[in-house]
Amino acid sequence: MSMKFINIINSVKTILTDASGGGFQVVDHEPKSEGSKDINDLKKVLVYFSSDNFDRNSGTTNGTLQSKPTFKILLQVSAMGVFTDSDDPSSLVSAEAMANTQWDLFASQIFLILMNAKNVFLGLAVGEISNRFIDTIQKGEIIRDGDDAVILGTMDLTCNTTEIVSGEIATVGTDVTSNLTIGDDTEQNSAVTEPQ
Amino acid sequence: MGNRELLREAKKTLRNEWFLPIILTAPDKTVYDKINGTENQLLGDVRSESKPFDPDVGGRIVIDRVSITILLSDLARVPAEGETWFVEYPEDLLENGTLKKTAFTSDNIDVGGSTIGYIKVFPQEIKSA
Repeated sequence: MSMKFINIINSVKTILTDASGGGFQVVDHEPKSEGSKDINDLKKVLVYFSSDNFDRNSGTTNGTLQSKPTFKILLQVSAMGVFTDSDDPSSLVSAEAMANTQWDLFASQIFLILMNAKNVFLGLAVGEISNRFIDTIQKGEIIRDGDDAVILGTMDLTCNTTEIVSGEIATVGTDVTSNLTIGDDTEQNSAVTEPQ
Repeated sequence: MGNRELLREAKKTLRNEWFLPIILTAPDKTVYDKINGTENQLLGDVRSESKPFDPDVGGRIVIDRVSITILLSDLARVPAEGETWFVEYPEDLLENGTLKKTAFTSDNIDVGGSTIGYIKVFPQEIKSA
């Protein structure tokens, strides 16, 4: 058994992916950093868990616990300028204008998808969540001093849910193992040799 | 030779030996590819970097950024507020490289203050509609 916010975030991702129609990409983690070239011509929406609030007076030792998780939805847009006449600079729609228009439409699109009446339970079973709501939309300033104009912005998606504390002893998680192979690139001398 | 004269000569030496050929196109389609009043190729200090930005909203974003610094005295006409210009520069930042056409508006210009005597533009990539 896992906490509900994990199910919710997976469901939100599914809703957005199904509705994207290839027009944007859904990513499920908060990025350390992003290259503007990775976003150009492919808008990105990143959905990740932000915080959870529990009502201390709403639960029991073994039983239900009311909570209000918050999910961050990060909207990334990067755009180039677009011209109609390669000899006429005045025919150009600037990268800033393109990015600005694209971000507004993108935010509107995501808002309307998530607030659509069909998604009142965010794709989960009736009663799993309630009061799903986008509380805030915040648009950042245009970053204009690069090859592309970039705009980032966030939405806060909240809902009410009930966590069930079963009283079972937690199951030990599965071990995660990985193999590390050290290269033997003789050109860059990256090989690691055993000490003699 | 006075200090001002020396500085002026040093700027010319820097321009002639380090700057790269560029071509500017004004909003009225006039092409500027010569240093004002001469038959010499117009030159700019073209530099490229990947610059991380930490915007007020969202995560860090890394943007490729090109800057072109041009001597104001080399220009027959200086880009004005509200104007959009094309600028072409060698894509590989080598003297004989293929020219890449980009654009800038008055929003992408840094002029005045520490750049007195120069205009610094941050061109943006463009594509056909």
